[in-house]
Amino acid sequence: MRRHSPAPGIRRRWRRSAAALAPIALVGASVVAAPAGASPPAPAAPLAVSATTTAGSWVSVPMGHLNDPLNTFWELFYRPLGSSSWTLVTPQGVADNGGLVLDTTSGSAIVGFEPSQDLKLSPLAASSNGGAAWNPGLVPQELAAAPDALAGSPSIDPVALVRSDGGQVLSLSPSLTSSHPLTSGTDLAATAAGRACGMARLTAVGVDSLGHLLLGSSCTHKGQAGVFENLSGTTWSSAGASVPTQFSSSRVVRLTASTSGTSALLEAATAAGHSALLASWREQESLTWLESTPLALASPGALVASGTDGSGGYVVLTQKKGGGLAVERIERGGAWETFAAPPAGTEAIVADGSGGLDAIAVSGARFTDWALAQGATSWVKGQSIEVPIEYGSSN
Amino acid sequence: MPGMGHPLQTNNAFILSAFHRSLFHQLLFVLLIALVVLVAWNTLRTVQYRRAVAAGGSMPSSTAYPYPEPAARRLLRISFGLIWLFDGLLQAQASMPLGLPQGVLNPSASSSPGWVQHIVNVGTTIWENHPIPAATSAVWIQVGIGAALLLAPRGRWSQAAAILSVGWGMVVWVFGEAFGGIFGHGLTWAFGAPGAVLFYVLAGILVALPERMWETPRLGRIVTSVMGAFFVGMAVLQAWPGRGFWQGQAHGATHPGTLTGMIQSMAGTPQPGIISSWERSFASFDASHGWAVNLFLVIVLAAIGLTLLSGRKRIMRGGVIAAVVACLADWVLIEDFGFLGGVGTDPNSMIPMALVIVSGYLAIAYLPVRMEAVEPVQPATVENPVATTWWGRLDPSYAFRAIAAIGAVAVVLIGAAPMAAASTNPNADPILAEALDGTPNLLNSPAPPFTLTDQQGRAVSLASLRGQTVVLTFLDPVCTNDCPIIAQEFHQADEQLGSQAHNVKFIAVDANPIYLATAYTQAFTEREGLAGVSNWLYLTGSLPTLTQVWNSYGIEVGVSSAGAMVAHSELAYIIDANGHTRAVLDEEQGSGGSDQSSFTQLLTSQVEQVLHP
Repeated sequence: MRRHSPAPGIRRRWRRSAAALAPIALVGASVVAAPAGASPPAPAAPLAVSATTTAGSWVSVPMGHLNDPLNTFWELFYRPLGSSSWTLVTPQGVADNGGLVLDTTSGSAIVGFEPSQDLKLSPLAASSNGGAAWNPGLVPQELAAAPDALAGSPSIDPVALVRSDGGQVLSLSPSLTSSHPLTSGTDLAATAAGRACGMARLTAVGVDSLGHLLLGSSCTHKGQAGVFENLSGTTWSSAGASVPTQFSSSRVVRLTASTSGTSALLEAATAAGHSALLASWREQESLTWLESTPLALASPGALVASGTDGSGGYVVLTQKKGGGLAVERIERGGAWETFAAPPAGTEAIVADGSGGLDAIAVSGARFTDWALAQGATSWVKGQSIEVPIEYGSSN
Repeated sequence: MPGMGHPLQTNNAFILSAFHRSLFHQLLFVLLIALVVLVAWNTLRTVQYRRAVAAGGSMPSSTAYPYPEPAARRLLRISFGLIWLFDGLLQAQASMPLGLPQGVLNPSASSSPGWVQHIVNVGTTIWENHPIPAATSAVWIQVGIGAALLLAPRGRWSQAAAILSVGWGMVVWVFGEAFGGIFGHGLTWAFGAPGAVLFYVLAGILVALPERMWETPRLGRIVTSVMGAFFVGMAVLQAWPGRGFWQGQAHGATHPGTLTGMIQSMAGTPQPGIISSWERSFASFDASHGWAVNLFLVIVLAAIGLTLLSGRKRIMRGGVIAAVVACLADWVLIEDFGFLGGVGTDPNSMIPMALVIVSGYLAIAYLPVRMEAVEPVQPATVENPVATTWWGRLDPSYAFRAIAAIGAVAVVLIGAAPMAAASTNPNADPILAEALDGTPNLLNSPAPPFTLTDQQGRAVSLASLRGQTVVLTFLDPVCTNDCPIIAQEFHQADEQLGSQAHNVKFIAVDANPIYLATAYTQAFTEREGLAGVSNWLYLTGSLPTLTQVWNSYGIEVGVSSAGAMVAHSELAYIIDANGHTRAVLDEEQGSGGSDQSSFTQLLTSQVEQVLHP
């Protein structure tokens, strides 16, 4: 069918209007193209950690140019119990720009190097003498970016959590040079326990004092905490931990074992987006969990560093609303205790094993220990170490 | 040393020398074309003259056009022809081969969505892989288009030149200007939206239209309406809240507003001090009066747009003058002239924009006047034998322009042909690796012997590989940057050698004095996807044995402290079937995929030379 052509004048006007509309469409497209506020992904748990054991304290902190990933170097320090001096004990031979994972639960220390740049595996280093000498080892995949991605125990071989498959758990040989898979986050999510929690991925591994493997995960179901165990050897089940029902999701940040029992540090969030830290402890005999009161966080991801006190307690460094840092500690079965604001540049907090705290401040290559004695209200400057950082060596 | 990778500097002498050499060679061809054009034209003129004199007739001199070229069209054709020529000369700047991708292409796409960056990345990769053909092609394509616009005779020749301009303009607008940033945030007239080359394209389209369309004011009204709507739209965009244009840097704000930030960044680009000084002064003024400056800008843009849309010639004239003044002010104070700094590719959008607006006005105000006493094309007569042939009837001026236009297209082809050939090759040119690492050191000396253990735990000696070509390097199995890249370069070289690779062994020797066990070389091999490569061996041994091998091959290995990786020399040895070292290549890595691809090409070609001396 032949269409009626519009009158010439009308057609001309239409074409002019169409031509004139094109730039306006451009404006519309540009306004639409403006970036919309998208919700940020859940931040990874911070790798700045400390651990106090019966032999001494360890702390791992980022140093160097902290706004430049290739010039941020993670350094490990050790202080024997009773000493006031830290020693730089970072294992040599590997660039550690990706971060360090520290496990001290097996009696000796195992350090894992998070892969960075083009490295697709994670070297390990183990020391049984406070970092004076290290033996090399390897996780043949990329270690999960989580502070408890490694776990050991005197009674079982070390385990590692790697990034593939929703978090795969590998059992490492005692020599740390070979491994075999135990389970994965994908497999666990498909179990009844995984479904009940709404498990997204594994976030931590731990071994309790009886040598049982524990797995920590993120949960997307209300009131659930993702701590799993496999007592039967065949089926993974919930270890029984939970969070208050006001929280619609949670994530295991730390999963640690001590002679007193197992502890977990969780970050939980309400549906409205308010985040809080909670500590949970499992009694060794009754296997029941005790939950702390929530410690409100300024925002998701406000946790800057965490540390374990060797007896089931935690010390945390958090970002305050409006800037600044806060130090809080919780002892096993206790309540959150807030301390004086730490010095500027604090990157990690250490529970010194005698009731006091150490704030580790970093300024470029300078490590400074600030001490807060038990009952004191102000931090006292202590030891300083100038670390020989090789800037540019990873560029 | 791993971890010491560095990008090629834009003024790299090796690349610069090759660029100039290539430009010079192509210039010789261009001069040859110019010579052929002149000779052809002179020959035609001479023959026409001799025939005319012999026959007692006259030279043909008529034109087929009933009126002179419309003023608006002439303005567009000549001005954009000159701009293309200028752009072509800018492309000959020393920084172009290596500086354009990082200095121009990537920044222009940085604020655009991912799909735009993906498209731009295609062009960027081609340029980075083939910097010399790409940079020289841009020179000659643009010089050729400019010459074609300026010289082609009216009619189809000129229209064809304009279409050429539109085509290349689109290529530049998409790949060079990331669609002029129209899909990114922060779009503003003040910074040249919607891209300079879109105005080249618009001008090309107008020149390519049949000339009869310029006989009435209609075309001019369309142009002014489009530009009017564009200015109104830009005013709306400039006034849109939340885009940062209403803020300067007042009241102690930590970050400057969008416009202030843009001007400050422009002031920081390399340029004469006096221009930086103007920019900084204006940035400072905008920082303290951001709201007022933006209000003024919104009013000016809206006023220009409305006057252009008014359709009334007298009002429009004021709008055109205001537009030209605004464009010139923006060109100086904000766009910074556009072409300074070493990688400026054009004078930016304000001059082309002003030219298009003026041409729209001219197309309304100055219509072509028909020439009443135009002589038709000189008829062929028996008395004038010159006019009996087709070439004899040619107007000399027309003939010259036609021949020159053909020459201009030939210049375009001189640029386009090598680039077209290069863009079909996904591998980077070896010249990048040579610029980074120097040319391979050619030798013919016995390679030091060794016996080590491969990733499967089997003993391997160099002597046992006699009869095969060995490519030998030293890698740290837990190194985070260069070593995995070198392993991939070896893998790619193996693939590129194809069937020739069956007689080649690619061997790495552990270069980390702490991570020595086969567990590490095996894990590295698997994680790098080399486990299935039958001619790949990753050898290790005890520290004393390795130290001896390192020393014999001149490999320095040093354990660094405090979280740094092991430092070691990065060299590749090519050892022939008789166990003689034939070439040593430095493997220092650059900063991008092109450098890696380039090294792979260099390595492959060196292995081929050893395989087929």
